[in-house]
Amino acid sequence: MRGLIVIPARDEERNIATVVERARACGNQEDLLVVDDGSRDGTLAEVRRLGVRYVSHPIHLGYARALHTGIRLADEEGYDYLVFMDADQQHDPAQVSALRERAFGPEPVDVVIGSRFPEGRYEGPFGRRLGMALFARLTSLLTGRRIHDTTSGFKLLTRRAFRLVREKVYGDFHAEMVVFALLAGLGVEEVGVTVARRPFGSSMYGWLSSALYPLKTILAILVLWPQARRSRALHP
Amino acid sequence: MTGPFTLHGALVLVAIGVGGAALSLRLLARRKLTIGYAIVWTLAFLGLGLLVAVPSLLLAAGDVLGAVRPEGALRLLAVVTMLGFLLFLSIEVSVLSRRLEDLAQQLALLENALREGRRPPQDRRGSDA
Repeated sequence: MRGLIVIPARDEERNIATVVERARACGNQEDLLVVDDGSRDGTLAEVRRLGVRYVSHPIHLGYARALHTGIRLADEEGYDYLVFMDADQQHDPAQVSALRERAFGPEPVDVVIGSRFPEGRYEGPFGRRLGMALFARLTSLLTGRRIHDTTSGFKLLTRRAFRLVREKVYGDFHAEMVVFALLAGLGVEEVGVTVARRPFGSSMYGWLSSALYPLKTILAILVLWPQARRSRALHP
Repeated sequence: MTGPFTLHGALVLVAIGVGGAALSLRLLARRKLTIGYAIVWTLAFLGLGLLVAVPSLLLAAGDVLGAVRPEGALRLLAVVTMLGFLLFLSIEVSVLSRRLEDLAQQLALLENALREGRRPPQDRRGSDA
């Protein structure tokens, strides 16, 4: 089985080398792909220096589009699964195996979320904790499934899953994707992972995007809900 | 004869209507407006001029809209027209933005394929991401 680790990166000049080197050192069986999303710093130069496979957006298209580029490439090249991993050193590439084992283990599933809070004990600023609890509750309400970490950027999607969500780019492939996947009949599970603090740079979510994030996600869910139902009807 | 406007006011509004329509056509001729937008603006300006020049039309519009005063009908029509046009422009901008993103993404994937000496990726059009 062929897997692809997709690392979307924008202005991660100081982090990307460590992320790639750690991913290589793990001995993971997956191929690596960095999607440079119109970085303004030396991220692309670093990526070229590292000799890692990459796709470079000529302009900034956003996190979701960078993931979508990875999905397109994985689909075109016949990968069996892909793993999304952040470029800011928060995710441990050694834990990709845990996601893989859960996806293809005795009870296979289509989406495995590397969960920061598998027990539902959220950490971080109040606003973020409230948001995560809200979306976990909303997901539970809409799907009947309790998923604690719906905003994790560390997740594995099998081919079946990424082909289904390929053209459903309304948010950042977070809660709305989890809800869509569940309603469309895909198997979704969480696996506990450790997440470090990013040593360099800043989050892609500024105050405005953070404020708009809940509204964006709710609208995305509203739009995707009927689409998920139709997908389930067409592909039971 | 001039409905709810003074003669001076009516003449100014009619001049704005006719002038605006003429400006739209001139912008179309100079390719600063596409024909779709030129039609919308020409009709909007001519409509304004007509409503002012023919008071009975404005009164009729007021009756249809339930406005107490004819000038209220004009204001309401203007607000609704502007909202509708802004929504239309939002749609246009969104579509153009999506096309630009698609183009940039396709370019990135083509460049990647070229660099790696592979066959270019297929562009799966038809789905709205």
